[in-house]
Amino acid sequence: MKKSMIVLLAVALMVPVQWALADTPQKGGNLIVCKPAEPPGLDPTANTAAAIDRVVYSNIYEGLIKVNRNGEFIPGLATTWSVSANGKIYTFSLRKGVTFHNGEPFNSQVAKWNLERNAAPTTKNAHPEFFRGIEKIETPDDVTLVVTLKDVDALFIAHMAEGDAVMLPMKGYENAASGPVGTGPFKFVQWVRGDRVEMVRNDKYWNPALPYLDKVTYKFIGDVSAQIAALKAGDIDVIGYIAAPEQASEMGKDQRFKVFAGTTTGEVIMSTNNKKKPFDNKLVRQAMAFAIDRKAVINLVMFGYGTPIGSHWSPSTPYYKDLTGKFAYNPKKAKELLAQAGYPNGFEATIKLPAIYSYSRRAGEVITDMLGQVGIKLKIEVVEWGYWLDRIFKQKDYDLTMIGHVEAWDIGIYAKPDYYFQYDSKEFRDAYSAALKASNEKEKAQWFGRCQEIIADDAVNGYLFSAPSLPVMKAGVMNWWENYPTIALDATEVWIKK
Amino acid sequence: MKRFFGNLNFSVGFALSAVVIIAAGISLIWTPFDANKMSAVERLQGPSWSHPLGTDQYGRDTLSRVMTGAVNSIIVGLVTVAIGLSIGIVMGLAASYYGRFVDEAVMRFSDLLFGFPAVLTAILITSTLGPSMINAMLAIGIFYIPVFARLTRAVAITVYEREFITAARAGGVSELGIMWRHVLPNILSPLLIQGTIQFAVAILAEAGLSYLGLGTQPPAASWGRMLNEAQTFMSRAPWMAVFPGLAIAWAVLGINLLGDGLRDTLDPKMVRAR
Repeated sequence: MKKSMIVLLAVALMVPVQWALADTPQKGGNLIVCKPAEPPGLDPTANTAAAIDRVVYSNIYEGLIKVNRNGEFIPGLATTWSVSANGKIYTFSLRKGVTFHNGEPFNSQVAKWNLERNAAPTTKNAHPEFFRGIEKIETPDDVTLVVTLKDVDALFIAHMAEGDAVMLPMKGYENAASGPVGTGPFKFVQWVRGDRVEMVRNDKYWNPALPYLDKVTYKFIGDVSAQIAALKAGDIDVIGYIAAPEQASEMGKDQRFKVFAGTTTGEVIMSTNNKKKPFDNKLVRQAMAFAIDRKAVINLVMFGYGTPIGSHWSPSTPYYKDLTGKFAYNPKKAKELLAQAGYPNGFEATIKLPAIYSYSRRAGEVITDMLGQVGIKLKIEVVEWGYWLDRIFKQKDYDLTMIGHVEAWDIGIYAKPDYYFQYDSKEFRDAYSAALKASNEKEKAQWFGRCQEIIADDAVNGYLFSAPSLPVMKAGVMNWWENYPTIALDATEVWIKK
Repeated sequence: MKRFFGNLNFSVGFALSAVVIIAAGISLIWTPFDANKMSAVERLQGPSWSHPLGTDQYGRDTLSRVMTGAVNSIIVGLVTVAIGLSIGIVMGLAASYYGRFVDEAVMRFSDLLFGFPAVLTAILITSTLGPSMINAMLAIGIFYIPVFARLTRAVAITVYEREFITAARAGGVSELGIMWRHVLPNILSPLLIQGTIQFAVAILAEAGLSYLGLGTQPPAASWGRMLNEAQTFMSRAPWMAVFPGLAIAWAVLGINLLGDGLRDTLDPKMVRAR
């Protein structure tokens, strides 16, 4: 009796101790994260490619504001911020004693220089409009930054939390694309082109408790089966972003690995050239929307991972409006609309698919089959990523393509008539500027909702599904992000259980 | 005919090739299912009565796709050999007839083409011109030109030295007539043998290019493409890779045996050597 009591007591005592041990982050270790696309550079303020953010954001570079795992805005290099009553003046208190990896100090002067640099006419920033609404910037002292906007901008804070707004040092910024210098928890070591980017722990990070890892390597493996093979062989620790869905479910059953089926800000869409015949006809676009069975697309392409969407807005972003019912799968209706548009026997077109993303390649094949059933004969062309960026994204030389748009709050791209969709709608532009000027939550919800509705009604693009995060990792990798509310593969709080 | 079927290689090769050709022929009018029809509920099914070779990740019937893929392979084989033969024969005959400068030029050009690894250059060509089945055939066909040009030249030179050519010349037959009526028929059998071998090589090369995504484009069925698509499903749906793989092996083996059989029966020197 007594003996068993002791055993029980011992067990009762041991369990919490072990749990506590398991949950306490352990320092040290190297982590190798695999991602499919190699970034075209390492400067997020000079190029919009998400591949850049997925390597450097929050690892090497930080902005004034960060996004946490729940999608909330939290202090980055600014510890607090406040907005004036008229919604135009933002006052940021900056973190004290922060230095860049090259030893340069970070202060309000540097922050001002960064914001002005991104707004300059010569800037390479992909989103200068984030900064061009700024009227003036004042720096009353080293740790206070007062930004006055020309007009209310409901997304100003959201934009300050994006990769385009990270802080670069005033001296060491010129080589940012190949040798990034930031304030983040990891210091850049080297970029072996075609293979990997290495970074090591920044011992002088402003949060002395972080990071836990000694070294992080981002390794580029484009082929999804090669990724899984590398993980199984132990060559990598994490597949960071959308692992092969057909294998993810099986990997999840294996004790040695874990899979997260979280959400992302990404929308996978069939981008449509709205200026090109016959896609300039709204009826044709609506017919295509009716011809697409989203549920089947998700099953065939993503093995059930992913959420259907009806507009260019991810369910994980605030003010989401479920518009999937608007063009519910109805091939009969699609044929009727085609006939109404003057194409009773359908037509032929080309869909160009980027080879690098297997989900877009597969979605393209599935869509080709679905549209074929209502008479729209698509010819598939699989193209290289460089070709895609140049010919489709820049020169708008395409009919249809398939791609994931990963930026959160990016519905504003529909307000740019020269964006590669070539969508030109005054109604939308008015609604979007009303949304940006909305001063309270109710108005924001109303106007951002309206924006989603307008593009859904116009069937600007084929809205398919919100991409799952789908990282797969070794069981010992702790604290990896489950949902991806911002574009990053942030290793700051990640640790390895030994 | 009896002479051919007495040869084991030829008979087996003929039987294997016939299966491929018949399957391709049937697929032109009928396949068990539409080869490109997707079905979410039927995806990744193992072999069964309704789908004897299973289904792929889109629920497409593998048997139907293997059958349609046969058409693809036969077209590739025929077209590439046709490109190589037509241009190669003209070049080879010109080289053997004119000799000297023309011969030199044709042969050095052939050397140049031979100097490049064929598959690598095919990859270069298809990635420059854009991936498609036509460009893949063009790329493979170009490499067949020197193969046939050299063979034609080598055989034609020996034919030109024979007495009946001199007799024909003495009889006043035009040079073109000699080429057409006397030289060409006498060099046909080695060309035919070479043609069957290159046919098999072309099927392999197209499968290789398609496997790399440079050949036949989706959704068209090609054995190489099917292998490419199957690779991520190897552990879950091995039939997706096994059957197109078997089809390639079957067709290539069949045509090669056919070629061997033809050589055994048509080349008198080979018979004597035995």
